Amino acid sequence: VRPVPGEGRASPRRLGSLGAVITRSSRRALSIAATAVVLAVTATVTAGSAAAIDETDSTVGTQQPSGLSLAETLLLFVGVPALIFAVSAALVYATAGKNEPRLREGQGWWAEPEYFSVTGPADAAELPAGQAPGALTAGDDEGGGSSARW
Amino acid sequence: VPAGEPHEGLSGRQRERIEDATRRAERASGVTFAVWVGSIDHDLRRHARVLLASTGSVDGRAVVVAVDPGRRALEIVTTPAARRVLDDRSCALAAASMTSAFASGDLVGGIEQGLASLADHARTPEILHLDQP
Repeated sequence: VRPVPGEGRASPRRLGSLGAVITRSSRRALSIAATAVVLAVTATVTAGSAAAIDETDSTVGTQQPSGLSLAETLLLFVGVPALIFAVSAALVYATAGKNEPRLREGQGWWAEPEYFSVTGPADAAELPAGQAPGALTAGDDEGGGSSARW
Repeated sequence: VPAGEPHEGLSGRQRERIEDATRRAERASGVTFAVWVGSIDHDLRRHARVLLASTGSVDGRAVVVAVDPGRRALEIVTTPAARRVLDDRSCALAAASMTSAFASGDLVGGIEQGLASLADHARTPEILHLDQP
């Protein structure tokens, strides 16, 4: 499709935009006509072939459908969905089991303090606050850091 | 007001994750990292300072991250030597990323993120006569 100048916006060249409108509506009419032709041909052909079958084959329409037994129906429409449901539920629960306990809103924390350090002494966690040697608190003004609450 | 059952503490897997994160941060930055998780009645910052003094850092560059999940408080403290490579702004940035994870209930994920952020910022090489007066 070649680009039409002035399409979709107010152009100073009125003749150009008028031409665009004409080509657009003619294109639309053409496509509608083509669709109508295709639909008509399809309807005619299928109706004709159906009529031809009716004339030649007398067994069509006379046979009773075998249908599904009660067990088959239950298996298909109850068993299969139930199986799918069970499999997905099992998958969900299997993966949810690996989730670690989360700290919920407003939840308290009463576990023993834990200290993680590669080099430091592990018993430092037991050091009570306020009993530090004087030399240790001397660096308070020089050291940095940050505090936050959530 | 705490609601419902208190948290049962860290699981073994969570402890491993924190240990791994600590080790990784140390290896990446050369700074000694320590993490403390627990509840304390006293001043958390002072407690973190005491822990900081007890870290066995060789060159004096150490950082302690102290988390009190019960009181929803976090402290990051650095030694004067560590502060030269890890300024307070970087610590505040790490603290912000940690608390946002904590607020969503992910305690260990927040600690991992914070340590990674601290190690990232501490890795910046010192420039002679610019970083040091």
